[in-house]
Amino acid sequence: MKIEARNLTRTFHRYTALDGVSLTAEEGELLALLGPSGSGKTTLLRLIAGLDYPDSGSILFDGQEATRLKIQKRRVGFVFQNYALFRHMTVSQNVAFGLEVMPGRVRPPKPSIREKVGELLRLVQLPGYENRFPHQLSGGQRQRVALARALAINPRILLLDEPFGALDAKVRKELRSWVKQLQRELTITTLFVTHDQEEALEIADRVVVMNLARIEQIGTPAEVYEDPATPFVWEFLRGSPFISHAPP
Amino acid sequence: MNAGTIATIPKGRPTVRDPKFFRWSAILVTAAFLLLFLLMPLFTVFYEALSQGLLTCARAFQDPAGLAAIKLTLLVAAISVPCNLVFGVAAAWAVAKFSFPGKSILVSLIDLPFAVSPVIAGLIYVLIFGARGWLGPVLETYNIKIIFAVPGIVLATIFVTFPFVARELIPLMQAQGTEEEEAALSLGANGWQTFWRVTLPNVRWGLLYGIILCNARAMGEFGAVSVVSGHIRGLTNTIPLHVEILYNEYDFVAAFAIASLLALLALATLLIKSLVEWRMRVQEERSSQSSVAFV
Repeated sequence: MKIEARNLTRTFHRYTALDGVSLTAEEGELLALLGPSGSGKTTLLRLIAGLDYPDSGSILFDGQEATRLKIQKRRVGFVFQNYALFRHMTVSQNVAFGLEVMPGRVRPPKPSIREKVGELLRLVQLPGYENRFPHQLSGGQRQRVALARALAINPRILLLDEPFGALDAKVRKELRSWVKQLQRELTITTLFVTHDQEEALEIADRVVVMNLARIEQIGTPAEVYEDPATPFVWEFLRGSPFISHAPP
Repeated sequence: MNAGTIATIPKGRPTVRDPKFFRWSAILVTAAFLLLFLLMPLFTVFYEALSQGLLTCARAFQDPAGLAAIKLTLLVAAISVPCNLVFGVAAAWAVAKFSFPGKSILVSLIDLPFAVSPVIAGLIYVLIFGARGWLGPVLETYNIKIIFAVPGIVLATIFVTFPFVARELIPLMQAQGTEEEEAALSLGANGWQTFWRVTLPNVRWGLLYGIILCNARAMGEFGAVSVVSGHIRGLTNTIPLHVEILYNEYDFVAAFAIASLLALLALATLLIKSLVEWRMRVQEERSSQSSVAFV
């Protein structure tokens, strides 16, 4: 699904978290929202998800007005920074949640829910973990459960808030190329928030560089890296000692 | 993240070691205090109740006035605890999960019954519903009796025990944040489903804890109930009031026999309370692990 954000503004009391932000995510695209903390990237993600509403501006899903659409009607798969797994439920109960809460007339019968859960757990490479509880899983496993849970409702878009932020370096590298591959297979429009330049440049189709509630530049990894539009983009992408190689 | 760092400190090993002398004297003082002020009275209650033999003790429970007091206490608890369960959960949910103007005032109001003397709480109801109170004439024309009757006792008990459930839940719900609720909403759940399937199960042990304390207080409340009850034997006497009457009539065995019921309730409450506390600690350790998210 194509997502358009037009001139979104959101203020919290006196603090402006988003100041007239516009962007378009094409069907099947993997978009990174990159910026330092406080740049407004998570606020933007939450507005698109329907977890929060803009003060002004509009959001369009496939050209249709969705600004005031309730979150339940948006069918977005949202993966939270700390995964927000339901701690009192097993892995399979977590994944099945979105199907269980469907209204009676559209809810799939129990056997097909179970089948779908098994299918999703195979997809995220966690078969056999059905009866574990979140506290019995590693960080990487929790993240994959959160992803399976979000995918269970056949979301039209996937929104990931710092999806790799809480993981250690090795797992992070493995997971991000895996997520990229999965996103390709599912061809689902995906936005993810990150403050890690390397991560954004490595897996995103296009990178949205944000700073101080505004967008500094939108472009492919090569464009923003080779041809930064503002001094901030240049500094944020290159000033970091962590980048050891040029992106593709 | 903070919870994680705290959890990694090895348990059972204080970081600072005081000299043995201080440690032992502190333990000794505490133990002596507990023995003198808590265990001895408790023992006395049972001892006095059984001092004339089991039969004399059992007779206290055959007295119709005593039985009526026990029934009334159970009735009052059966009404006020569920009421406060609903109020408490609603209040905690509102305070912990939403932000709205006047929230801090609401939080202070919840604590009011803890701050106000129970006798004052009872007097408030007399001033409102009593024969000379604000609503007295209106109630009289419709022949509704609240003061010196069961409704007044229930109202006073609800007032006094209101904070227990809410106070227990608010910090717990605040600590858990709103992410799981947001996740439920994003998965298509409505507010009602989110509450029953996510919010409530997450606080179930805290809720049970609050209910137990609330119940213990509801059954044991003396001051507020004493003001509104009118002490009508067999009609408006709860267990604590009945104990006082028996004692004042020098019927010590019966007084202590009935009082031993409350003492048993206290012991049962303590037992369940420590069980629940243990469960909550287990749960807390798990959830602090899940927020650290290492591999």
